[in-house]
Amino acid sequence: MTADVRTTTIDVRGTTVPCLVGGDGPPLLWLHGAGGSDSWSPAQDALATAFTVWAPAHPGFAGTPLPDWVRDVHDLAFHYVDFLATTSLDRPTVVGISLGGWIATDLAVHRPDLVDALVLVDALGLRPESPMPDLFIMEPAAAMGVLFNGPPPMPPPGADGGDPMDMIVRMYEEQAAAARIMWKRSYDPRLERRLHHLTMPTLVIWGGDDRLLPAEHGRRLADLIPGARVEILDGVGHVVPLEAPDAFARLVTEFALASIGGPS
Amino acid sequence: MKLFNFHLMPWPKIPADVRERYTSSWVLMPNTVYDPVEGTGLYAEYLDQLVFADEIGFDAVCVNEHHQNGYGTMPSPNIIAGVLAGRTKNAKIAILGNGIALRENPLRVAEEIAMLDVITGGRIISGFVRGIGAEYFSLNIDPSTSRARFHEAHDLIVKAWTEPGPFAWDGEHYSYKYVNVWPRPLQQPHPPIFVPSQGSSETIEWAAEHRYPYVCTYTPMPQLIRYYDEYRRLAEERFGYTAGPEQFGWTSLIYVAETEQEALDAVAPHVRYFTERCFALPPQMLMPPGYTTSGSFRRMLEARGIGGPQAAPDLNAGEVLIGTPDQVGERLVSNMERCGAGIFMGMFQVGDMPHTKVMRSMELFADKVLPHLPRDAAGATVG
Repeated sequence: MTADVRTTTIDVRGTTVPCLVGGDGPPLLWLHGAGGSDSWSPAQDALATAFTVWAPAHPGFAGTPLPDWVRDVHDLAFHYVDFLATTSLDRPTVVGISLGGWIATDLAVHRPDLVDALVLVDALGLRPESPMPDLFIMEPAAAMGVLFNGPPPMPPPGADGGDPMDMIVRMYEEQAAAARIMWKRSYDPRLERRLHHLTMPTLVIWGGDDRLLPAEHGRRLADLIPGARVEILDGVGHVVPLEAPDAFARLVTEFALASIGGPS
Repeated sequence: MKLFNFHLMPWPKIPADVRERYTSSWVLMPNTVYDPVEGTGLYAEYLDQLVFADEIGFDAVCVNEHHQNGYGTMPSPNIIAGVLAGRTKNAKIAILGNGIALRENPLRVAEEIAMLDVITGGRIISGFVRGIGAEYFSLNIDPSTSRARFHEAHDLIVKAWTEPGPFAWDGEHYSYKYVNVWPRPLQQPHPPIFVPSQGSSETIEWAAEHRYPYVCTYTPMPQLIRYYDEYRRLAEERFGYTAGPEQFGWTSLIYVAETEQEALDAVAPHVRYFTERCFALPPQMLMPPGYTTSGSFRRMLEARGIGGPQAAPDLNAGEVLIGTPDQVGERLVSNMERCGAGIFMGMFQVGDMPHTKVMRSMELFADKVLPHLPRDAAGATVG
């Protein structure tokens, strides 16, 4: 099916947030990764059969200016506390991918009462066991080789009829917004001691062939979260929702529907 | 005009296949390529070249800051300035400049420059730069905060030099309970501040507002003239003063020989070395995310085209200063007039050019070119 998707603009305490909203059902907050923020993906479409999917763009993404107040991941976590208050979303399932997974973790660590269930997908945040490849210093093609297991599952800039120049400038802007969070280090050394605050049902999904953060890291993250379950998808790279949208959506849907109204 | 001798102190043995092997001669080229034994001799030769510039009457010698690379081996320009303080007598020492946005503790720059200024009896020119994009990788500073850090570090350093301490500094990027720089600078209100830049409109406006001498490097002459005209226009229309030639520097490679062909032949391999090896910098390292505004990024992208080759740095912007003494002297004067600059910054050494070649050209320059150049009155304040 193709969900009815609308784009709304939400004013979160003075910050303009473009947000895609689609589907029907209990609320699901989708926190995107460091790339790709303003297109509706097949994985989101599949989730929209069971949930109302809210997919806001992080500040500095989707053509919005990068605000000075964004200094580190905590600012974005509290931005989403404000986002939930502004939209009156009541205890959504929060799905965070990569950088979005770090934000989701931090949000749930600080405010477990706001999150009904948590899905962390190849999430940043926990200190890795060995240094992560530095995507910022790589040529774009090399970075794609780290992110995806195989050819990137999306069209190159301009292939869909848009102005490639606009898309490259947009990517540069979004990388700057990601740099604000990830440049110095793309994890928080304090996070490990805080993970026990994640008392909501938590599912960790990981690409078995993630070359940025290996699946072993995903298993360790799940081990550190009380009661968390881990699902490793064989043959899939870092960006699971793009590479395996159906398997991903099935896992999230089953998990989140079973968790609704559960203990927090 | 003022004559400055501009030096990078490059490493002369970057491998020819540096791009294939290491992607770049910055950040990723292993430091085993550097040989410290050879480095001792090389520093001595490079310093001799700058000391010689002082002896033959240059107004200033220039050093600068670059990190983890073979392009320029002065990660701490203030150390080189300290060495030059003891070995030069009359020339100003222009540090072009300290990468203040790269510093976690910019108060150290205020202290070091003040020390140097006192030690040299007031011969210091203090350039401030943001640093090349690659340096944000080397020192792990978020490039999206570069401009804000640059401005705050500048404001802090100038206040530390000009207002009695101790005072507190409560900024966005830096905070101190006690700012009280000992010693304080000799030159009043502070050592001249120069702004070397690649021509971003934000920096031109900022330099014009502060009346800081502005130096655009590696920029083709027509573009350079547009930048300097923009500075002059802003000074006149927005900031209410007329910007004179003393506020503009013009940088160029320079080489003098008995015949033009001899000069061209002498320089060619070293320019190639500079372009292909010293400046081996892929776009993502030159312009990391947020280092420049998206408007400037778009202009740069439009200029070179998507996937197009990166513009090579222009070492001879304007009429090329490689030739006989007469040619070089005439072109030097005419280039300076074209862009309205009062400070000539000559790069006598480039890439892997060996000491003997550099000295031959500098000696000829001292004998045959320098005496005929229109010089500013001795002792006039630079900057």
